[in-house]
Amino acid sequence: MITGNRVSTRLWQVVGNAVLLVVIFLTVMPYVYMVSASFKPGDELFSIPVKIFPDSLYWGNYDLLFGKTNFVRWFFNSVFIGVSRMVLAVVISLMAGYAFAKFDFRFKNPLFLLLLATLTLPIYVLIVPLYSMMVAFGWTDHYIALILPLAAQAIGVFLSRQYLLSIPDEILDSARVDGAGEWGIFWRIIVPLSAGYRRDGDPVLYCLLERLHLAARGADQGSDVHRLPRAPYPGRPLQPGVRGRHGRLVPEHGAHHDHLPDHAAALYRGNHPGRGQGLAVLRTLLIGEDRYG
Amino acid sequence: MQPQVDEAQQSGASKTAPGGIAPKRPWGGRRSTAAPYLFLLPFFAIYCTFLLYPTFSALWLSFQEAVALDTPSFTGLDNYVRLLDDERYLHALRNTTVYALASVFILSPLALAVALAIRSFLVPSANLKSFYRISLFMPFITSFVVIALMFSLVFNKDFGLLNSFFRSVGLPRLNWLRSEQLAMVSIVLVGIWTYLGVNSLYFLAGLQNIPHELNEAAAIDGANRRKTFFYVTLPLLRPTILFVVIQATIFSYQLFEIPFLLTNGGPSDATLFLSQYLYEVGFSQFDRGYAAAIGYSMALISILLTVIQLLLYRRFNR
Repeated sequence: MITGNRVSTRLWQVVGNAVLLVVIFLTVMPYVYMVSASFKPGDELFSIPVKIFPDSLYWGNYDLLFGKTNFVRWFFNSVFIGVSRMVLAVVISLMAGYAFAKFDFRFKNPLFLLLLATLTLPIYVLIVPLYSMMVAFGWTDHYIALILPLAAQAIGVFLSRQYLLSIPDEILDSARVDGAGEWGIFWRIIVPLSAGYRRDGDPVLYCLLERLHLAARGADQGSDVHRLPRAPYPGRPLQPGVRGRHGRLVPEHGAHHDHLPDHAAALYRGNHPGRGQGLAVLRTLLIGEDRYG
Repeated sequence: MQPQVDEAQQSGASKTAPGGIAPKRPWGGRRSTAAPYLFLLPFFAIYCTFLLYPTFSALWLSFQEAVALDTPSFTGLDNYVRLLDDERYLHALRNTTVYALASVFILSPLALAVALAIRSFLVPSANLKSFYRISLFMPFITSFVVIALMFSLVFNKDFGLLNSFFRSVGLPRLNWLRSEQLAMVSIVLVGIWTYLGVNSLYFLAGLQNIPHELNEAAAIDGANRRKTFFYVTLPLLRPTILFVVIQATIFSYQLFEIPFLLTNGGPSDATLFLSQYLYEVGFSQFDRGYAAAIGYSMALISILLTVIQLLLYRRFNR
């Protein structure tokens, strides 16, 4: 850094990393102990000098799990329910997000507000009535009871919408010029463009970073602060320059050349999936437009 | 938002467009009215059936006396009045609030400290930085059931990892999960263990949005590290702090699995949380109306606290 005392810098680095490594050790230790316990017979697990590692690898617990129980089936249940819910959620959220991002229609804003409002409700409120519904439908003990009710998550619509705002209208318009129907555009343009999202970069941090743009940039739709991103984002499908050229390609077909400044701003604003959720949502709902200083 | 006039022009333009673009499309053109609704339909069908309907149904239920299979009868606000006199409810509310306070005032500062350390000159190598990030993130993607299982092994009085460590350094063995004083401490520790990583990732993301130039400018102006932190970093980090605090509060009031599995609310209700009380009332005592009222009270508390935090933040920011 800027202050030059090298020895003290090194010393601080050693101390700092030692502390961090202790934190990591505390984080990892329970996992290690759980895995090691799975290789111990019961009496060794509950014996007095507690050993972190087992005396010898005991496979009995795994024999029990795979041989005597229905574990394979349980695992299948989890995978099946997880994958079905995911596929369903991705498709319907992307469809709804597409409608909110790329169409103007009556009741657009009321419907969007309705979506926002339910984000604050804890799931526990719904448990009792949901259970009664499942009983009424005769869905208890069926996969569908676990798949369908939780497939429509408002958060998915927000993420899709925020991301899809960054796809230039001109791409969609040129597909229309080429005779594609709305359904075809969705499957052949929207879905492939969304699939490449977050292909590179540190996935975890990138995702969180994106989420936090709502807080850091103060830029949801209500805000009038549109700062440009400092670096290109991996999720951005096109560079801004490209869309400018496309904008000239189809002017007679209602390209928004008269809205270009607006649109360019939307391109930047819409670049950060997930920004419309949570905090910004509440902020917009509760205190109207606001600007972070 | 495109104005209506624009819409008319667009459709007019496309009809007269050279090259004869077919106006007939199975899903309608961009300006047609049907397409967006059709795209919204599957989502809203599921959403209204399984989210909106139960939400209002629960609200209605909370105004009723509905026990087991008896026919529900309307009792107005009775269920909510009952909450104020219910000692177990108030006790659970107190426990949950203690946990929420701990996660705001202990967990969040710790996470900030970890994030600052990882971000700072203390960790010079990028690989080391991502090693820390990834290891800290692990608990967040671990199922609560697994976490509870791991900590039942760690906190066990006679055979647990923690007590065996305590004994080896000459400290007394403690009854982590079965003593009224310590059980809450244990739950808070598990909470910190679970959420430390993800919260420091939020802070790391926030720190990344602060341009380096500002720190450099402060250094040129003669500010030391401590001053830079208090006068540059911390003020610019306010939105992130707000976000972390709000989500920590909301998560705290919804915590269920860990106390339920680790201590089952005991000993003698020392770790009874609101969500577990709701579960007991709704699914063991089958008092559905009262359970719905508890659920709505939890939602109201979360919303109220969020509003207070937002207002404080707004005031503070002027």
